[in-house]
Amino acid sequence: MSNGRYGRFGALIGVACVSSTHCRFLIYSTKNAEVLAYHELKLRQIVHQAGWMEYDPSEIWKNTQECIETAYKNLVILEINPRDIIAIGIVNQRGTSVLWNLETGQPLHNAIGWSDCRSTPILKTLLHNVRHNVDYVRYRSGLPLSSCFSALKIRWLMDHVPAVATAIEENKCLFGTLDSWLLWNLTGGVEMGVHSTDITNAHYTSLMNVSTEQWDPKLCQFFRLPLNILPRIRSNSEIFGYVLEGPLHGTPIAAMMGEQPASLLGQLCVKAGQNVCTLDDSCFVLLNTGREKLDSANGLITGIAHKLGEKAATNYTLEGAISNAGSTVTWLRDKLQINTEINSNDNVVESLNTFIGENSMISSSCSSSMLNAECGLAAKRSEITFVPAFHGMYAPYWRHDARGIILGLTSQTTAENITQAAYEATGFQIFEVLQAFKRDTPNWDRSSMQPVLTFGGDYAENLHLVQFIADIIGYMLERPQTTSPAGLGVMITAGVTMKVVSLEHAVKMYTPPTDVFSPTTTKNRRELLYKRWAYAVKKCLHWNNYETYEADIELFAQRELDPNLPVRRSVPGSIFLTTSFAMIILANYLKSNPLK
Amino acid sequence: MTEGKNLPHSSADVPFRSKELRKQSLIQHTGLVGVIDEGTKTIGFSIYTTPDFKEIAAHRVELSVITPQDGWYEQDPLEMMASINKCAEEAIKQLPEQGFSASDIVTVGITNQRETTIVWDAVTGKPLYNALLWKDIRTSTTVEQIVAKVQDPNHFRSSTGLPISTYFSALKIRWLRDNVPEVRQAIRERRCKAGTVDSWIVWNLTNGALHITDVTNASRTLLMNLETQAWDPVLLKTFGIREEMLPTIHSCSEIFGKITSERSPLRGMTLSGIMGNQQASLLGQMCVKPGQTKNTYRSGCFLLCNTGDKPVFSRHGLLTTVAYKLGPQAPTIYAIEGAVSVAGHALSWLQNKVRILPDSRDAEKYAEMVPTSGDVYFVPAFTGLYAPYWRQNARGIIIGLTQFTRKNHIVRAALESICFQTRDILECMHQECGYEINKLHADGKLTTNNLLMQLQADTIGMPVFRSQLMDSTAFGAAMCAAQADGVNLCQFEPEKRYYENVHYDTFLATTTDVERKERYGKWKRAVERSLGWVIKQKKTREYTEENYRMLSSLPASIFLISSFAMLVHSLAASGQ
Repeated sequence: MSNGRYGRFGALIGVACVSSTHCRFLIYSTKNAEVLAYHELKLRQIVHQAGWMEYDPSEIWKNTQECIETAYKNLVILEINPRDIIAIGIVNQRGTSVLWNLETGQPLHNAIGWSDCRSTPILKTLLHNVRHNVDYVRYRSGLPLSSCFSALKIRWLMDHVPAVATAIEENKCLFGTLDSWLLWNLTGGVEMGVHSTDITNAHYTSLMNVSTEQWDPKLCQFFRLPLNILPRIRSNSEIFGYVLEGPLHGTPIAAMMGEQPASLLGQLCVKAGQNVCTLDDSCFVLLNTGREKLDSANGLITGIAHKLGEKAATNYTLEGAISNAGSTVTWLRDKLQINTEINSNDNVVESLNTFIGENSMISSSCSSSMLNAECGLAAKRSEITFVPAFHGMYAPYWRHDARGIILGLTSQTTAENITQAAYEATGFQIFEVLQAFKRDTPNWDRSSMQPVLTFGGDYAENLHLVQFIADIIGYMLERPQTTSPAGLGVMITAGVTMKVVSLEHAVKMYTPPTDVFSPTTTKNRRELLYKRWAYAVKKCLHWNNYETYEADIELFAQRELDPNLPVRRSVPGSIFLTTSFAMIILANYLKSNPLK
Repeated sequence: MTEGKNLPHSSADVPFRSKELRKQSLIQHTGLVGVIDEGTKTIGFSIYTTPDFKEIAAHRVELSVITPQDGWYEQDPLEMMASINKCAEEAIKQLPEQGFSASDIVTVGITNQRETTIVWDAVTGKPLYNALLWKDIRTSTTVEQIVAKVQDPNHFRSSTGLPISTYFSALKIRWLRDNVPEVRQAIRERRCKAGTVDSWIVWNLTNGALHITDVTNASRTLLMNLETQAWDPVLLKTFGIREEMLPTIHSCSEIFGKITSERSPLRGMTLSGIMGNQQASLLGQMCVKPGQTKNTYRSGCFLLCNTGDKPVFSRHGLLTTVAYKLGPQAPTIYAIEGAVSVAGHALSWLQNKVRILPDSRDAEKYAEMVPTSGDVYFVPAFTGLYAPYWRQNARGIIIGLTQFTRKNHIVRAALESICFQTRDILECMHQECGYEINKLHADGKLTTNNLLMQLQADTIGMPVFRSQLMDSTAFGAAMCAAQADGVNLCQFEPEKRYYENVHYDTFLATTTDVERKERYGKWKRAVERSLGWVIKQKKTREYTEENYRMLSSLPASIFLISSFAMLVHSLAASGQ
């Protein structure tokens, strides 16, 4: 596609990337998607009290500027012509919310992180008003009611931060997610700043109508938010504005996208039926549903995959959000100070059971001490389950009153068992999302789709964790060696805007080498493990909510069903049928032989 | 008399917490009493003066616990005897420093872990299997068999005071008979002896001359009738156990015989006191009035409430047991008991298995680093729940975790779990007995943890009196042995006599009723969630038979239905 106007790497595209832990700027070659230069700075997560998570928006903006300048210099050092950079894109974690003063350019409060729970009291009030129907606004927004979307965060700021309330009254307040915040600053801020957002970020606020793709006045009314503070909604692939200052002066901002849809695109899962799982502190599983917008009845989010142009068709996803994935392992290491390294032979018992059969003579005759001695087994899998619902559960439950629980402890339980259970917890949550995908797509032709899950994210580097997850979900896992799938996704989007990349081109030219992980468990084993997990999840709900104590009792009143129930139930039916036939015979007899 | 001087927050060496109280006695000594204290984790031998019962010599060693499987706990009976002999020898060596000699020891008492069951060969004297510990749960299948036969886990409560549970010796003897070929063979050849640890000790000390037990240990076997205080024929038949295998039941305080074993340094001394360790602790803490309650904090906790001379039968899963019978003609005093199966064991587990606690003795330091447990609740139902729930299918649970939970919170939650389990039992005792329980006596190794004692007072809302003795068990057994008929070293008169050992530290509650009610309610809900975890993989034989009868009725039903259908069809056809 290069027309000779560019250097040996073709046209270059820069991507500003803000994740939950880092700010990055990457410069890609459109010829082969290679990252030519980049710079990265750590983001400070500000935690004032339990369940709160904030970022400093000024720090994010300064860090982004610094990353741009440093990456630009690195490019110069590599003797690559920086004028080949034809566009930049922005990718950010969705849901993180900023309010700022349009006249001074100063944030009115720190940015509230997407997983922040401070708005849970407001959520409780809303749920009470709508009779605890979590799906009350789903028909319009595609989202359940939860504190992880922006609407409740804005509501909280309006209620609790006087500066915010004042600024809104004086019409000086602007709301944005991090993409809006960066765009506004890049394009000139107070003087000429563009206040726009892309459709994937707008969707995650809970205020956008997923059908009309515009802000919905009824949703704003439901959440009691003013419409005028909201940014303009654009597609992912447009020229949003031009960089005003710095080394990239005059460069168009040609793409903006939320991190998870960008990962879906960056992993090149552009066909319906393809899955992507991104495993960071949190975990997101996305199913590309193509141009079909599916309303979920199983606790998933109807999301937007991408819209590559103002007049292009919108592609949709079903999405499962899992609030604690890698952060569970971090919690074990930092808070409990348990060593979370797992011996590489930990799967020996599972492998043995898979290949030989769980009930085979050889498998059962191997004592655990024998395996420990000969295979160096650190810990045999035990009967414990860990549900890390540290601040409630997201997909597919959407319960704010769940709390973390470890079940099945015996005096033989070890730290290694707890670590394994923490690893398995991520697998089970992914499995539940995949099951929900299946239930939400009953009409799809399954035979043409492979049971494959594309894996990415920081914690996907852990070999053992990925193998554990494959063992639990029973899918083949592919782990492409893509440096930053979200960055690549935005690069492709910007390339589409500038007409130097197309989706077909990207799928052919940008496919990376891939690691593959196969499950080593049997189906029966997986079903048994999942049954225990489902029971454990029931036990971690309702913990932090006294109002539903009666429901709590009712929940546990249903103990394990009598295994003889089918047999018992057949007895009355049998007796009824027998008696009915007996009466028919008797009636016939009496008819032909009257008593008198 | 039972409330001595208050010395708050003291912490001292064993066995006395305050060395300054070890005064030079001016009382004329009448003789020495030795006590064999065979606990779950430690075996010790202590020597006391009379009548003031000051401990002047002691030695203790640890016993190892064998855990072949989850829920299985065993100990080596021969190791027990070797340890006893070693402790006695070491303790006697300390006597010359105090101006005494071995010949001054007039009599010996025994106090032991209860329910732990040993079977041995009467001919060879060798154990046929390891001792099955009281907390072993391998007999859960046996429990299912017996419950299927009698249809009610509380079927024998009115005669024994006990539910059918993995805890009690009858189930363990039955399991051994069913599962260990050597035991079955010995029973068939009528050379098998079975008993609790006290029986095993007495047998060895007397070269097999005596096969006896006391009424407190016998009341824990599920084979003794509380009224008659003899082995119950119905129970023997139900469990398929011959009376000749079992020891003869005696009172706690009488001359049983003389020690004749050549291997024991106690040779020639009299045996005159036997008590289960928890009953000895009840006596040692002077809980002799109805309504007085004590708790011993060790690996597990055991609460006993004195109910006087009539047994009180529980409807909420507490055990009715004999507290003591201080002579063949003395009145039998009963108690109601609740057990906490995991107390200090939870701290050991956090140290050894989960490794978030470097040393379980530092639990107080770690727990004090956080002001609360951060809404974390730990229900350590490692082998099911005991009083007042009695649920075998419960398992340990930690709930209420957030990303801010730290190991200090979990350690504190472990300490609080001990306090909540204690409160569960006290609530139940108050309901059952009707007595107003207004204070709690505490002893045991874990009571050196001041935070635990304060949390206990905060949880139950009443004062906790911590005994100055680290372990009042041996003290109780010593008094029991000393006052036996025929020994007459002194009379047991807690109403009249001042005992130097009976001093307490006092911990008062610092919480309000509302706080206690809320936190206790949350504990109840955490307990509820620990139930139902274990999925049964196998059915018992009786259960299978029931299933079989159900299934076998189906073919007949189908046959009858088909026959009638064909008949109707033929009638209709002939009608046309």
